[in-house]
Amino acid sequence: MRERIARTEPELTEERPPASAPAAASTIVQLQQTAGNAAVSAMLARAPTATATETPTDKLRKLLRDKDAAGAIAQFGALSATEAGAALADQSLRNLAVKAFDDDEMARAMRAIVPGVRLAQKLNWMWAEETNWKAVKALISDPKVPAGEKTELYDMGWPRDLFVDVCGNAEMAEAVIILGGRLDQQLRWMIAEGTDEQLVYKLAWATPTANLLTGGLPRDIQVGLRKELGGKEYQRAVQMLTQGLLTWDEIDSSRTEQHYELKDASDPTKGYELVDFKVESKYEINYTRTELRVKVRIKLTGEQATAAHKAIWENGIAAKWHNAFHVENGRRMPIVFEPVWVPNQAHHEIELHKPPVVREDAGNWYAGPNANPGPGTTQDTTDANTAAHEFGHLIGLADEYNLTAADYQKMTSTAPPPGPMPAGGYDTTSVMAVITGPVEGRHMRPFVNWLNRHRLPGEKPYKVVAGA
Amino acid sequence: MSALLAAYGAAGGAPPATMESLRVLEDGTARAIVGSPWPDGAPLDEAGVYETTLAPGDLEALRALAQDQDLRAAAGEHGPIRGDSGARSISVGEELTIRWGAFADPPPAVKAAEARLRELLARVREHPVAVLRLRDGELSNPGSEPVTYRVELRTGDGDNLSAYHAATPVPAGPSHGELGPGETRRIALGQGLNAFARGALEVAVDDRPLALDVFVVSQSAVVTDPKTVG
Repeated sequence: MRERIARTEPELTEERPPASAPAAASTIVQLQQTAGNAAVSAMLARAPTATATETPTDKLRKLLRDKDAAGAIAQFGALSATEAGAALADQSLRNLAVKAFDDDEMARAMRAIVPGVRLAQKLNWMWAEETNWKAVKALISDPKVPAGEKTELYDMGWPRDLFVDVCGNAEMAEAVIILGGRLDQQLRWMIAEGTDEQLVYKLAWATPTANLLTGGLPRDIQVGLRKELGGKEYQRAVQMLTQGLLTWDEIDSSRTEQHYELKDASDPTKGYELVDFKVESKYEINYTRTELRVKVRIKLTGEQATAAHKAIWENGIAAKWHNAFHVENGRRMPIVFEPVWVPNQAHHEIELHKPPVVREDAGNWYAGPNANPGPGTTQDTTDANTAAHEFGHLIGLADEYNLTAADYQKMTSTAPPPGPMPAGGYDTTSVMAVITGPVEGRHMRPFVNWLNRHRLPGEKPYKVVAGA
Repeated sequence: MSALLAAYGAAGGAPPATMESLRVLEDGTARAIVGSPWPDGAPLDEAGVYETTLAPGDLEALRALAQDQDLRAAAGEHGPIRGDSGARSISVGEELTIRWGAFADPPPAVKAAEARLRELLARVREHPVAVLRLRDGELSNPGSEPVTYRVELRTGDGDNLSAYHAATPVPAGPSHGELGPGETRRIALGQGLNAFARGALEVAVDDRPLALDVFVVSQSAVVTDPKTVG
C-alpha cells in the first residue's frame, strides 16, 4: 500500500456569494468545466432576480448552513439532475456540505442524487469530506452509473489520487474491476497504489479476452509491475495480461507402479512377482482461455540431437497425444502436449545413445547420425511411437503391461480377457502398453482433474471427451 | 541336485519382453531357457529350453570366474532399473547376486563376466530340448521333448522393435498346437523379409510345466499362399 498522498484538489475556504448575486465569471467558468455548459446555462436561466422566490438550491444552501444534515440529504434527492449537477459544481456549496456532513452523510447525500449527475462530481465532494473506500465502493457499484462515467475517471488525473488515498492494494484492484476501462488504465492505477501478483492475476481473470493487451505491455506498466512483482510472478502476469493465461502449476510428484517381473531373471521356473517401479510426474500445466497445455521441459544429454531428431520425437508425441481428447464444460477446449527441449531447469533428463537401437526407457533414447527412426534395419534413432510412450511416463503415466487382473480392471474399467492369466500378467492395448496403441481417455484424468481443481469462480466442471 | 555355480539372466522391458537365462550347476549341467533374447541380444528365430553338460575346461573357467573378487565386490543393484528397459543379473552360487539396469554402468568385472556367460549361453543353445523354431516358413521343434505353443505371426521388413510394431499380422491369424520332437508345421506368411512369432510356449522343465512368453524373429520369411498350407 502506498502512503496517503497530498491532495491535488485545493481546499476551499470561502463560501460562495448568495444565490441572488450574479455569478462571478470565475465561478461560471469553473461550473462549465465540472458540470458542463448545459447545466450552467440552465442554472443561469433560472438565476432569480432580487425579488425571486427561494430556489431548490437556495433551500439546500440554507439547510447546509443550518447543518441540517438529514434535511440536506433529502433536498439533494429533490434536486433535478441539472440542478444537482450545478450544485455540485459550486465550491461554496461543497464547503458548506463538508462542514455539515460527516463521511457517511456525505456519501448518502451523493447517493440520494437522481441519475444523470456525473460520478466524478459526486466523488469530488466525497473526497472533500475525507471519504472512505466503503462509501466510494457503494457509489461506483451503483448499476445505474453509466460505464462511461466510470471510465472517464481514468482520464481526469485527480480521481486516481482519490482512489490511492482511500484504497489499500486489494481495494484498488477491486475498484478498477468495478470501474472497468482499459486494462492499461486499470494496471496504472494499481501500480500507483501498490499491488502484488495475486491482485494482478485477479484483474487478469476479470478482464474480457478482447481487452487483453495482446500487443504487449506498455513500457511504463512493464517497469511498474517489475517493481511490484517477483521475476517468475512478473513473467506469469505478462502471460496472463497479454496471452490469456488463466492459471498454471508445476507438478512434481512421484508414486510407484506395480507390474509383474520374473522373480529371478536367471531362472524363469521360479515364476513372476509384482515389482514396484517409480513413476515421476514432472511437468508444467497451463490453463489458458483457449487450451489446456501440458508442457514438459526436457534436457537431452549424451549424443547430439539435431533438429531432425527432435522433429521425429515432437511429431510422434503430437500424433499420439494431441487431438485425441479435449475437455468440455459447455465450451470446448483442446488439450495440448508439448515437449520443450531446454539446456537447464528441466523437468526430466534423457540421455541419448549411439545406435544400434535396442531398448528405450523414460531416461534413455537413441540419436543416430542419420536420424532414421525406421522401421527396418536402417533405424538408428528412437522412433515416434516410442517417444510418445516414454512421454507418457514423463507426464506421470504408468506402464500398462504385465498387470494384475485387478490393475487391468482398475485401469481399463473392463474385465481382463477370458482364459488363464498370461504368465507375465495382462497388457492393455493403449500406448502405455503397446507403443503403436492409442492414447485413452483415462490418460487425460490427471490433467482434467487438475483443471477442475483450478477452475475459475463460477466455472462448470470439465469432462474429457474423445476427439479433437 | 547339484548346487548352483553361476547364473545369468536378462529379462523385462516393454512388450515383447526380453527373457534369456543360463544356469550352470557345480556338476557342469548347464540349462538355458530363452523366451526372447531380442531386442537386447541378436534376433533369434527360436525359443525354448536347452541343456547340455559343460566341457571340463569351461567349467573350470566358470569356477574361476565365480571366485573373482572384483565380481563378488560388485554384489548388489546397479541402477537405474526401469520397467521399459529391463534388467540383467548374475548370480554366483545361491548367496551372491549382481543386478543392473539396461543403461546402468556396472563395474568392468561385471561386464566381463556377462560376456563370458553369454558365450556359454550361446553354446548351450546348440542343444535344444523343447524348442519352437520359426524358419523358412515353417514352425518346428528341433528338440527332444514336445512343445505346446500359441503364437501370433507377423511379417515385416527389419528385425528391430519398430519393424515388429509396423509388421502386418498374417491373414490366417494365430497359430497354435503341439509340436513333437523333430516335428515341422508349414505356416502361411504374408509379404515381408522377416517374420515374427509372439505368444506362449508350454514346456516341461524338471517334470513340471513351464509357461514361457516367447518372441522370435525369422530372418527368412517365406511368402506362402495360405490356400496351400495344411
